[in-house]
Amino acid sequence: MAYRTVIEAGRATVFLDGRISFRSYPDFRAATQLALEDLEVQAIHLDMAGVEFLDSSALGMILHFNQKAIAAAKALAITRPAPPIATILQVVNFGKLVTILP
Amino acid sequence: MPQPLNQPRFDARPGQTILVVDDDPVTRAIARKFLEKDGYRILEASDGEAGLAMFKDQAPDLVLTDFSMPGMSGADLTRAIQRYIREHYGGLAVYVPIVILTSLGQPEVLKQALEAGAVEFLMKPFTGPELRTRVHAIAQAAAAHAALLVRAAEEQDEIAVLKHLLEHLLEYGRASLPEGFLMETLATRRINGDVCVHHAGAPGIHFGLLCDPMGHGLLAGISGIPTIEVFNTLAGIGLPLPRILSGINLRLFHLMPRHRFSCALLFRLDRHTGSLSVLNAGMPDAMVFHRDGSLTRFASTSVPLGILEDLGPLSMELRQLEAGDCLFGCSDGLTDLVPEQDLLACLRAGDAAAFPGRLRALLDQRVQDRELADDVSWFLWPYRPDALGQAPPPGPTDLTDASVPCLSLRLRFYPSVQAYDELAPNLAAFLASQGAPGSATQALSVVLSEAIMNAVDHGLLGLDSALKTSFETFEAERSARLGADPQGAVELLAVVHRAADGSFSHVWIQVTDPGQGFDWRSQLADRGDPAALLHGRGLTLIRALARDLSFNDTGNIISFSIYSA
Repeated sequence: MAYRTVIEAGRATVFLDGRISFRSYPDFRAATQLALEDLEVQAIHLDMAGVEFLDSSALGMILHFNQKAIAAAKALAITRPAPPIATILQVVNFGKLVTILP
Repeated sequence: MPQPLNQPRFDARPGQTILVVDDDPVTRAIARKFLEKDGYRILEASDGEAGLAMFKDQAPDLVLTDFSMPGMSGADLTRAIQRYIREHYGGLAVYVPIVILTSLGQPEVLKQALEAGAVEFLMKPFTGPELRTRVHAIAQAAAAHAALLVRAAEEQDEIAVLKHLLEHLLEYGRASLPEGFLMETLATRRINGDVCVHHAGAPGIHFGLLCDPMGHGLLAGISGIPTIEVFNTLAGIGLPLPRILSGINLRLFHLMPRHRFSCALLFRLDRHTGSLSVLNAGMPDAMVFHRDGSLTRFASTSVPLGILEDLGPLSMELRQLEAGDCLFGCSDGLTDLVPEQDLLACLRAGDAAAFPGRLRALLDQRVQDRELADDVSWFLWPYRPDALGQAPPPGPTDLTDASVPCLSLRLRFYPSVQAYDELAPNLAAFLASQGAPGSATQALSVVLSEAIMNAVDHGLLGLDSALKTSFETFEAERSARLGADPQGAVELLAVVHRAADGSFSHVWIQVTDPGQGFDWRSQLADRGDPAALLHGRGLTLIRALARDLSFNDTGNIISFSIYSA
């Protein structure tokens, strides 16, 4: 998994690329840590336009991050998932837990 | 429906013909005078020879004959007519009542006439009204008799057609029966409703079906036709057993009346590897008698077929056979007759080839002269991996045009030393190079990843799903257990099927882990909104994206298919 984090105007956008599985956890944590710790950031977007694969471990990872974001009073959203990723999110009804934006 | 030409059937309808044979012209005249009033056509003959000739020529519906005549007697004429009917009309539903007219009341005369085939006597002298009354009574009895004969003949025709259909449907499988495969079906009526079918798939792959439709006879036999057709078609394209069972179930559900159902036992045996899969829907336990004397049972794990539109998740039993093991299955017609302990003793009593004789003796002892209460079917197959079967003969057109397995991959990996999470995307990429569409490879990548992760996390590492309430705790525990060099391997079998035009059809995957398994039934039960689950999203994904999902009983073997569409 590759990542790039951009913070501007109170919003952190984490651009994720490639495959996200349980092995991606160290990278994912690093990618999101900055956004989580920045007091100016009120919203965090996980941009998934470049994500090719997502498994249930990755979903668990995102939920875990969502709990941290809520605790830090930040709003998390998943943005621009490609159709296969959107299907996975839809199957597990993920939209009930995290905001998903096209 | 057209009737056979000259088929006599005496049922008192006006216009029917009565032959009166008597050397006494007065008797003939009385008969003519009174019976013509009732609308019958009367034929007369003055002796037996003339009467027989007239019978052959005119095919009357009733014969009245004097007993004592010069030349051929009434008893002789009766025998000659009965013989002529047998020879001339064969199996047709023909019944011609013969009435003896006699002034001799001795018991010996009556006995001779009855033995010859007469149905009634009329003592001379008789009056016209007496004759009319007697003929009317005979007509009523004859009509009932004729109706029974017609029904029996119709049923015989129906059974003959059904037998022809069943024979045609079964002949392909029988022609390719593997060496040593024994099976028998005993019918409680003239046709056996139970069906025992074999299908030789790819070299070394054998499919079998033992089916017991509700009831027996014609009705049960009819249920067997769609069952055999679907089995032959789906086994012909190498689909996994759950898919075959579901296919049969769906056909029966939509085709058969609601109150009819069928029990079925399916198996698939790979003679090269000894890998046996069994799926039991309502049949008595199938069994494997191992060479070491132990016994493995395959109990029913599904409701019978034709009741529910969707059978739900199916539990398929998987076992590894060794040379000398014997697979046995039977219908409840056998277990109802023979207590299991007697059956087991019979199976273990000696050479498998002599089993049919031993079982037949046991059944004869139980049944004696009574008719079977239910159809009895069984099969026995001693596993001999070194005895290669005959090459299957060319199948029916629809089978040769169907998709076939074209590639199989068998992998064993040790998660502690290998990057096993790369297996699923690599296999998906390989399938893409084989022509699998993007939707299939994407689904495979996800589903296989989940299956492998379950096999490693829960099967090999023994991680409890409850740990997933804390993501970091779970990941830390996983890393620790992987680092502790766990023993054991996860096995993966993938079989790629192509359609007749060479395009990718589907891939069937089986993942086996060395663990204790899990309670997949409760996991697959309706657990409400998946978003609310603390764990189990992987299984939700597998269930949504794969087809033919099945587990073995303990849950450490999972199989599924991914289709091109």
